[in-house]
Amino acid sequence: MAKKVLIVDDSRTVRQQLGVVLTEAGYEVVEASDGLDGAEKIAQTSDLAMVICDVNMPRMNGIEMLTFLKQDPRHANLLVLMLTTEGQPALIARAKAAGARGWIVKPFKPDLLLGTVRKLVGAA
Amino acid sequence: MDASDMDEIRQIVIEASRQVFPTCGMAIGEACEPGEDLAAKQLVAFMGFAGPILRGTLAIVAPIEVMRKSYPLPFKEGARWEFEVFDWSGEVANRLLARIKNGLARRGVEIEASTPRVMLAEQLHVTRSVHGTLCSSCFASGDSWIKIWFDAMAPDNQKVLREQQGPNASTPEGDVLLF
Repeated sequence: MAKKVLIVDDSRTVRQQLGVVLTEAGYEVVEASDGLDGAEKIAQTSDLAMVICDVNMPRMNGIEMLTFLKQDPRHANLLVLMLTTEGQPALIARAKAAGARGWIVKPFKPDLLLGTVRKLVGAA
Repeated sequence: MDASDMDEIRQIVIEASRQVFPTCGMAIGEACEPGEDLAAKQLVAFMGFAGPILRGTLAIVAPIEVMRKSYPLPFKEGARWEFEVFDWSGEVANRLLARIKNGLARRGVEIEASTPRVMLAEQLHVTRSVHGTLCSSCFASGDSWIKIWFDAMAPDNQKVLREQQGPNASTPEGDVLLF
């Protein structure tokens, strides 16, 4: 069975771009449009392999979602990779402290992103 | 804010535009002052920002066709392509403001951004305030153009930007950091 990756981003275009890369590589993709939607999808989906999450989003941002998630022991080990336009060290340090496993600055390079996903969760 | 700060902020906005638009599929030419034309059907992508010193708005204004040509995916058959272009334009504004934010951070100015909003406008006219807070640039893009309006407000006559401290500490676009 294909490994499931949740994409959390308020841009439908970015979700589609990521979705194409990941589904062509054999992963199953679940989408959420902001941090709150992401937290709900994580609660509803028991077999997620990892989450790729934007930072600047309405309702709940990516770091708030990450912090909320890691407070729940059921999701403490879930792999979260941040994919964002932001690149400032202080924000990256906050995400790391909150439990993120990596950080990619948009626009992403498909081969690098896929290599990172495979490194973190293995092949699809 | 003093006049030299405004000039430097304009350079930060131009430099950020040069970095972002080509990576979003839009080749751009030299920066110039935007004209006051009122072309019909302009797309406007805008974001607010605020920080301890500086606050304001970024707006990208362009004919919808310019943004449509740069859309990075095939349009879905039967779907309204305008909505896909609206979403994409918001993402472009997000990337541009992030680059500007990095440029300002190197000069000691921190800002936080809102999320983007996009609308289609006709007969759009931007009013310049008496405080001269608006820096604007226009770039040729193919046979069309892209305008950037960056309205930045700070306390009067206060020096906002500090001397640049060291090299850019921001992570470059596309780079992967694993923890």
